[in-house]
Amino acid sequence: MLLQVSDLAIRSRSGGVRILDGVDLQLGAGEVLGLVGESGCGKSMTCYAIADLLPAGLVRAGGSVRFDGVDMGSLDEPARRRLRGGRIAMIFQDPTSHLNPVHRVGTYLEGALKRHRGLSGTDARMEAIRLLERVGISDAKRRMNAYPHEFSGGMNQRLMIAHALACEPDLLIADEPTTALDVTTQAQILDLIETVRAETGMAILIVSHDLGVIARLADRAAVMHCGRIVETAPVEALFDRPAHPYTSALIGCMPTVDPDDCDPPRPIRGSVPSLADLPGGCHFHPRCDRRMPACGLARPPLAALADGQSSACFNPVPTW
Amino acid sequence: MVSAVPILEARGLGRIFTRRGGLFAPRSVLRAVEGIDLELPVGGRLAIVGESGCGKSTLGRLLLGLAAPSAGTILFESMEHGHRSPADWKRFRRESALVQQNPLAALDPQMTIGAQVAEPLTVHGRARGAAAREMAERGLVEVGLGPEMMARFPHQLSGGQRQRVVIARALVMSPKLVVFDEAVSALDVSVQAQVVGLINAQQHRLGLSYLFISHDLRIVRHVADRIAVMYLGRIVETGPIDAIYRAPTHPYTQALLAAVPRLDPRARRPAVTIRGEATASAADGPGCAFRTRCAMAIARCASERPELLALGDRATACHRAGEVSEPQRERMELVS
Ligand SMILES: Nc1ncnc2c1ncn2[C@@H]1O[C@H](COP(=O)(O)OP(=O)(O)OP(=O)(O)O)[C@@H](O)[C@H]1O
Ligand SMILES: Nc1ncnc2c1ncn2[C@@H]1O[C@H](COP(=O)(O)OP(=O)(O)OP(=O)(O)O)[C@@H](O)[C@H]1O
Ligand code: SF4
Ligand SMILES: [Mg+2]
Ligand SMILES: [Mg+2]
Repeated sequence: MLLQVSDLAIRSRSGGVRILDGVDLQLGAGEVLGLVGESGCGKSMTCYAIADLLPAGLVRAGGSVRFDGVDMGSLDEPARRRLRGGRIAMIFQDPTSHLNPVHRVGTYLEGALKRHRGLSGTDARMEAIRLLERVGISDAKRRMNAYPHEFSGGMNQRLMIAHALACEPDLLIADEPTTALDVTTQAQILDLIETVRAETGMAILIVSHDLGVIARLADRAAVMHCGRIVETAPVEALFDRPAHPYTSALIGCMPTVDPDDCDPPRPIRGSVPSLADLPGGCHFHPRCDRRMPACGLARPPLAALADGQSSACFNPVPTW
Repeated sequence: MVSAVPILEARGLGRIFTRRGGLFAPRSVLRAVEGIDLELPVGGRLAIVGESGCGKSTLGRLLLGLAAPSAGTILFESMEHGHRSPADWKRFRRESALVQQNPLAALDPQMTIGAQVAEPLTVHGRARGAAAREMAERGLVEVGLGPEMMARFPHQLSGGQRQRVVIARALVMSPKLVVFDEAVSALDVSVQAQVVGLINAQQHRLGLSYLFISHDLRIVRHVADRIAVMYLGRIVETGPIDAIYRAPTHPYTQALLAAVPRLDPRARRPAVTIRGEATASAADGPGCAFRTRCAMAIARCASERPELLALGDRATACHRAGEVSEPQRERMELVS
C-alpha cells in the first residue's frame, strides 16, 4: 500500500467537535481513489491530514497515516516537509488563491524544480517550459513571464498541475480540482489528470462532491458522511450496486443529461446534521429509509461485503 | 396548443459594457448580450445555459428592467419596458422577481428571516404588520421551512435553508414572472433535489412563468421545458430541452453536452472536449464567435455570422447545423 490511513480522527482544538471519526483509507501505487460526500463531511480535512497541512484550529485525535510503509507521525518536521510537495503533491479547488500573486509563472515552477529536483539555471527553465507545454499551456515560453492573475481559472489549475508534476510525486491529492470551472474546462482538466497519471503512474486521491467526476476518474471510491467513511468499493460496484443507503440516496439525487432518465432527482429527507450535534449510532439514521431500531443505538462498523466492497450499515441495500 | 400572447418577449436585445482602458489595455467594448430574441409563454419555463461570462445574468437583469439595454425592446404582457410610466414600473416590480445568484449576498445579515420575507409585501403596499407577517410565515411553510424560522437570522441557517428563504421572498408577492439566477448551483445535490422539487411545486401552484439561469446542464432538464444555449452574448441554439439533448445541432451544444460527466464509470472515454476557452474578442467582427474553438469550422465561419435559423420549434445559429460532429458521433456510439 502506498497510503494507509487507519482510524484517523481529527477534532477542533477549541470546541472538541469531531471533524473526522475513525477514517480508514487505502491507496495502492498508481491507483485512483475517489472521495465523495456532501459539503462539510470532511473531505478537505482528510486531504489536509494526509498532506500534513491541517489548519491551526484542528488537531489529530488519533489514528495514523502511513506513506510507503512509514508512519508519518514518526517523522521529524524536515522529513515531513520533504514528503509534502515532494513525493506527495496537492492541488486545490481554488488554484488562484493558492498561487503567490507576485511570483511569475516561471519563478514558481523553477523554485519547485530547484527544491525537489536540484535543477537550476537553464536546466530549470527548459524543464519548466516543458512542464507548461505538457499541461496544455500554449505559447509556454512567453507565458513563463506571466503572473497568475493574468491566467483564467482553468489555466491556473493547469499551472498547479505542472507544479505538482515538477516534483514527480508518487501521490497527487486533488481536492475538488474542477469544482470552480466550467464544464468544458472541467472535462479538459479531467482529461489532463488522466493523461498525466497514465504517463507517470502516480497514485491520485481525487475529492469531489460530484459523483460524475468520481465515475469519470476513479478506480475505487470512498463515500464520506459526517466525518466517517460509510462505503468503499470499486467504482463500478459503487454505481451498479451501492450497499450503503447514503450512497444509494446520493446517486438518486444526481440529475443527468440523459433524456430517457425521466425520474426527477430524489431528495434525501431532512438536512445534513451539524457536526457539533450529531445523531447517535449511525449518523445517517434520521434520514435513512432502511433504518432499524439498532441504527440509532450503535455505530455500524465498516464491514467487508464482497469484492473489495465495504459498508458501514446494519441494513445495507441488498446487492444481489 | 394555441399560442397566446407571450408573457415576456425580447427583440434584438443587446447590452454593451465599455471597459475603461488600463495602463496597457486600450479602451474596449464588450458585447455582454447581443441580438437576443426570445419569447416566454404564460407558464413557460425557459432554461438559459452557457459558460461563465456568456451573459446569462446580464440577460436576466435586462429582462427584469434592472439594467438598461443598449439595443432592442422588451415586452411584458405586451407593454414595452421603454414605454412604462412610473406607475407601470411599480406594477411590473410587483409582478416580477429575481432570485439572485448568491443567496448570502441576497440576504441582510442584520434582519430576521421573517422581516426579510415580509419586506416586499410592505414595500409594495400589499400588506403590513401582522398580516404581512402571517403571509411571510405561510410563504416559508410553502418552501418547507417551519414558522420558527421567522425569528432567526441568516447565519443561523444552512445554505439550503437560505436558498429557500430567498425563493420564499421572491414568491411572497405571487409574481407572474421570475428569473432564477443559479438558484441551486451552490447547493449539495441532496438539497438541490429538494429545491428543484420546491420550484416545480410552486410553479404548479402559481402558474409561474420563469427563466432558469444555470451553467449546469444536468439540473435544467428538471425545471424547464425549453432551453436557450448562449455563447459570448448570443443564443446559438434553442428549443425543447429533450429534443436538443437527444440531438444537439450546434457544435457548441454538442460539446457542452459531451463534457458533462456521466454517472456510468464504464462510459469513461477520453472526454471529447472543445479546445481552449471563450475569448470575448472572438465575438467582434464578422463570423461565428465559436469558430476559434469549433471542430467543424470552415472558411465561411470566419467571414459570415451564422443567423439563428428556425427549424420547427428549434433554432440554431451555425453554418453546419445538424451535421454530425466527431463528439456527437462518439456520444451516439456510446449510447447505442
Ligand atoms: N479550521 C477549522 N476549525 C474548525 N472546524 C473546521 C475548520 N475547518 C473546517 N472545519 C469544519 O470541518 C468540517 C469538515 O470540513 P471540510 O472542509 O473537510 O469539508 P468538505 O467535505 O471538504 O466540504 P466541501 O465540500 O464544502 O469542501 C466542516 O464541518 C467544517 O465546518
Ligand atoms: N457591470 C458590468 N460592467 C462591466 N462588465 C460587466 C458588467 N456586468 C457583467 N459584465 C461582463 O459581461 C459579461 C457577461 O457577464 P454575466 O455576469 O452576464 O455572465 P454570466 O453568464 O452570468 O456568468 P456567470 O456564469 O459567471 O454568472 C462578462 O464578461 C462580465 O465580465
Ligand atoms: S458556424 Fe462554423 S464555427 Fe460556428 S459553430 Fe458552426 S461550424 Fe462551428
Ligand atoms: Mg472541501
Ligand atoms: Mg451569472
